[in-house]
Amino acid sequence: MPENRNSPAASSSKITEGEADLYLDQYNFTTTAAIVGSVDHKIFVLLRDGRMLFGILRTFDQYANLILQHCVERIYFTEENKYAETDRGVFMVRGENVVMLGEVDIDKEDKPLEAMERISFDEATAIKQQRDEARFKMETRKGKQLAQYGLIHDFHKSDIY
Amino acid sequence: MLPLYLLTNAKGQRMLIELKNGETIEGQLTNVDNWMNLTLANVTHTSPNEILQLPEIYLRGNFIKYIKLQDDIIEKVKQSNVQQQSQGHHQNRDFRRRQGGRRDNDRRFNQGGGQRRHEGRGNYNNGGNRRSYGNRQAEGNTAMGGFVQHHQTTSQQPTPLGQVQY
Repeated sequence: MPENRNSPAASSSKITEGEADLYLDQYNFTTTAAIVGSVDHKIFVLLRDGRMLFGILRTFDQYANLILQHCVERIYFTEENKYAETDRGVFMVRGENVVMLGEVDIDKEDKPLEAMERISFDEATAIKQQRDEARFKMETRKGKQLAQYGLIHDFHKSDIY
Repeated sequence: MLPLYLLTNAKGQRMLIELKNGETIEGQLTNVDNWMNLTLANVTHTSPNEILQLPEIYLRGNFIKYIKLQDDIIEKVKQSNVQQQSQGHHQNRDFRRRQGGRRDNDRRFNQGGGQRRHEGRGNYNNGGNRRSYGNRQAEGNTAMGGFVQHHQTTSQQPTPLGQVQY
């Protein structure tokens, strides 16, 4: 088998990771198929409500419904140099709520966190909620002002990412 | 293994669901469909203002933000998959291979009342077919299957073409 590696039979039965990458690079996937290369890799997902999830992508479908294993949720306060995290286990995310996702380099992932102070997750959620509410108020005000000029300010409470 | 497939195989497990509006529902999954609509039993519905205990709930898939599943779910589903493949499926697949694609033709030949004129081998084949076809129905599934069986035993008519195809 190994000698006729390029024959269709051989490539369909078993392909190496390098070959898979080569194959994937040849196509410009614009749909959900683009994340097929991230399966079984650690990824980061941003949800529409502003949550950040880190976990290993196990499977996905055409709606970008995701299964994340060993999932961790993090909240960052970059200005204060603080962060919080909590374990979430196995997560199934409904595709609609995904803003973006991408692979994480596990070797470099923890570097920025070392320079940051870790606070308790409950504390962080409380702060985040406060800020989200403040932001919501601000955006509503902005929306009203813009409306006076006949302009639309597209903002929704559930889109707080 | 698609996400929804994993979910359908998680029936009976307890899970926590967060809705788009931030409320959470925790309960035992009883059913799922292709739109991720769920039915849950023994539910705790938590909203900012109140906590409700409900025996049963129907949830439109549309309204789900995420589901927190049990940690061992992936392993469990994988295992039950392997088991299914080694047991149930095997017999069926074997059966189909033995019958090949010939059954269809045999039946059509015999339809014209020319059964007697056929050489013994053909007839024998057909008999084998009929018997195993009965077996397949005994495995029992669709209403259609039941109908065909009845049809055959009473009048010895060949099966309609639509039933024979896979």
